[in-house]
Amino acid sequence: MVFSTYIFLFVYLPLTLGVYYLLPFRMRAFWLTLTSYVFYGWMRPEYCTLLAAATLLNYYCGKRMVRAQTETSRKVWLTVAVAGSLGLLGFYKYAGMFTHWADTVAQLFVTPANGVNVIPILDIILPIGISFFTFQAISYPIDLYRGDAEEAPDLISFASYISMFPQLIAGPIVRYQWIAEELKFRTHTPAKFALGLRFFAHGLAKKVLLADMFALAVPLAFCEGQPTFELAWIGILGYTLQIYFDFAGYSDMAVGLGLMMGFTYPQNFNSPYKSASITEFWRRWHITLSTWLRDYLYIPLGGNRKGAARTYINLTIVMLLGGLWHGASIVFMLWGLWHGLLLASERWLEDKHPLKRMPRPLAVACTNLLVILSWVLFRAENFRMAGRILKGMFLSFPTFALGDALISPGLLLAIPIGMAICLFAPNSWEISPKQTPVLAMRDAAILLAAVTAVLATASTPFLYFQF
Amino acid sequence: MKKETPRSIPERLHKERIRLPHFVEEAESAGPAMVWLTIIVILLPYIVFLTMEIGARIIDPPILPLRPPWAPELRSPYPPLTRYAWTGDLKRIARLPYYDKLIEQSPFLPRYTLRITDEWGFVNKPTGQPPRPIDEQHDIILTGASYMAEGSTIEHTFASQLTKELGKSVYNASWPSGGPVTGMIHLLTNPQFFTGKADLIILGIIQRYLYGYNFNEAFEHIAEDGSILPSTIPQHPNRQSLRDYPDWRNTLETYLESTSSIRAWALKAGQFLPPMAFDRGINTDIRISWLKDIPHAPILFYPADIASTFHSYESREGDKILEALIRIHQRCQTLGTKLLIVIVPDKYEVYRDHLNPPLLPQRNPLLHERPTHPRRRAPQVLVERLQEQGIDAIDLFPTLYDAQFHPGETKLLYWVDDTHWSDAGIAVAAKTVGNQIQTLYLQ
Repeated sequence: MVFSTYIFLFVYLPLTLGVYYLLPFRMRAFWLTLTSYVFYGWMRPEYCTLLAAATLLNYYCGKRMVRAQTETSRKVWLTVAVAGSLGLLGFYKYAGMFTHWADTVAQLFVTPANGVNVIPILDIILPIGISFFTFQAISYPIDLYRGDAEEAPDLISFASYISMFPQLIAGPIVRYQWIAEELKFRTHTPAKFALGLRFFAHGLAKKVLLADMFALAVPLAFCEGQPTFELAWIGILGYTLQIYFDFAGYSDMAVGLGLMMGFTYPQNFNSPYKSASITEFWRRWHITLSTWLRDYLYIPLGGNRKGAARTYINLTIVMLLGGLWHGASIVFMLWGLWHGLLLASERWLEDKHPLKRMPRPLAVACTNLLVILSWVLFRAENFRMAGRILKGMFLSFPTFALGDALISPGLLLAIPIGMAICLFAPNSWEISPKQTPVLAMRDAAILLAAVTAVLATASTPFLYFQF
Repeated sequence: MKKETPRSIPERLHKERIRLPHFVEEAESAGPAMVWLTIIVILLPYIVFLTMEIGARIIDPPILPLRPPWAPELRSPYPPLTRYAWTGDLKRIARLPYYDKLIEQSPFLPRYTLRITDEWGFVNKPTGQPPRPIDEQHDIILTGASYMAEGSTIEHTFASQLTKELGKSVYNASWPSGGPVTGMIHLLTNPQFFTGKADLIILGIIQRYLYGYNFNEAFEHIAEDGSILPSTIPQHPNRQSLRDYPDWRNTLETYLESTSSIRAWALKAGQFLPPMAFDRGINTDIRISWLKDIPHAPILFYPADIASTFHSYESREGDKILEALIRIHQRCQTLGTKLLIVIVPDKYEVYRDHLNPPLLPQRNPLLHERPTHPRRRAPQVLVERLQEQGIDAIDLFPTLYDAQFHPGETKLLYWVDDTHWSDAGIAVAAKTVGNQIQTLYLQ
């Protein structure tokens, strides 16, 4: 299920929250788990088994690990849990890519007998959110092993932690240790609820009013043949804005829904486009992923404790894997590599790095340019497409005409305004949490506009839409 | 350089995360009255909406359009005896005021399709009588998916055009939302609907549906010798039930949206909101391109459809398709009915030489499809194989491809904002198919 749909806003959410508040505390974890499975399995119920598998595996491995007598057996249970979760992720996310690669290589030497492929390619439809909930699940056995968290009190509350619908399919990645206390006890105050409403309203508006609007600009560059200078820039700036508002909007909605149920989730975005270096960008962009990678990947690899060279290599490896986490393709890996190399270069040159020596506004502009370049790779499905966009951006001359492009003047105006919002406006975490009637009316208007947009998105006039 | 140790993580993380509870404390300092006021003010419009939605459904329960009481309990592609407007894909997937303006200026007027359904729920003029088996009144039956079913009005459907060409009435038994043979199977397995006495059945299939897996229905319902497998004659009732529709969750969502009491109001208000792309977590990658020699024609394509035109007969499991069609043909022979198979090309195949800039197929990242460059189009191979088996088949690609160069042809053969063929395309195709029927069967 998706937040910005009629069924979520008008059926699922009132039912889920209504019953949640009527139940006594000890029943709430069960209700949350149940409704989250409905949320997850709405379109593909069979994939709920994956969620259950990740839950059971990590819960029981954690249990055995706590009861293990020797360090070796603790390590064994940790390995089983982590390998099992990664195996799940690996199979569902990467098997298709690897069989495809193997087939490509094999075809260099062997002519396919059936005219199509040598090695059968696994066609697996990616279970939505699998990257998020497996990472979330992995944090539990590792935290237990390191002594950073206590054992989960019971299976139901652990299951509710893994499946919690607000952040299940697109983050933030919440670690077990962060909400272990809240799973046992949390308050449900009107203030939390009011704050949650505000986060949800702002998040929904970011998603349906801003991100979905900027999405219209993207195909101008990414779906045509060779885009012109103007179209390439409009398309990539549109994507830069779309991905931020979409993702940050989703995180805001998740935080808001969490607050309505008494949970306090971590901040996931902190105005990333205000960064003056790539290092700073990664402290502000998808914070729960970058800190996850730091604590569960970078530090176990040795972090910066094994000398300068190892630090750079570790940074690059972590970002490369981070790229792969976003999607099973070589362009995502290259995107990760780009960021890894930039991070390593900043670490290497430290104060001598050009970004550090520029005045801050210039450094922000340059950082954004580097980030925008990485979004070309992130959005392009292949190198040919990325190459065309880059050619349009840098190797063609402005014509000061949009030609036959399908773009409205309003959207053209919205792009600089959107950029200005990203660069200068406070984000949802910086807006004062004070409650006044005027602020309440502002948030009511935002929610009204966003809900209207959801309702007004044309869908079918009747029962059928799969023509 | 500062050293990091795993042990120091939790405290630091706790500091990183600490802001939200702090935030909550600050919010709580407002005092309970203000907090409650805030909640009420923010939620007020939403609660009004929710009450209206629930209330309207209690006062006037708009249950799915019910069948008329006399109608047998058969599945149907649409609810019977309805008429409503329908728009092209692009209008349906995006709220694009400027695009609408462009389309209005375009001479290739796309449309609101006015769809009318008969007593059986198929796209035909209603007869005004309780439904009787369709072959009592019609000698020629047309079936297939949406291509065969729809036209901008009831006069412009393929069946109506063919009626005009042949001077004989053609019944439109096409099943728009189904697979390539859904309508055909419905025809062959429901004796109340079709007793098997027609002279000719025309089965139209669009190029992009020519994949083996799309023909599983034929194997589920028809045995090798052409007999109907008994267990599969559908017996489930349809009335007031969502379960009958295979994808009930999708259906429920669409049903709720379409019967929403506030949606009409929201659509009006939506004009003042920014335009938006359609996004429900579904990948709806679209491409709008321009036709080189034809002004004012921004034209919509789907990358998956483009890719399909590059797939060879073998890679689509062509022999499985052939086997399915042989079974259907055998069934028709048993009934004493002739069968004509018509393969319709996709928009991209007809217009690819006009595209500026040219579009090339992409790999579908989900399916790992790899477009190959078949030496011959898969439909062409299929038609040849069918003819070898003694089954009549026509590939409409040459007809439609040539038609765009006709000196008098000023209309586009496909809708610019949709993947389906336009009235002009239907008329050209109906002429060819009509001629073929004249020579094959009527002379």
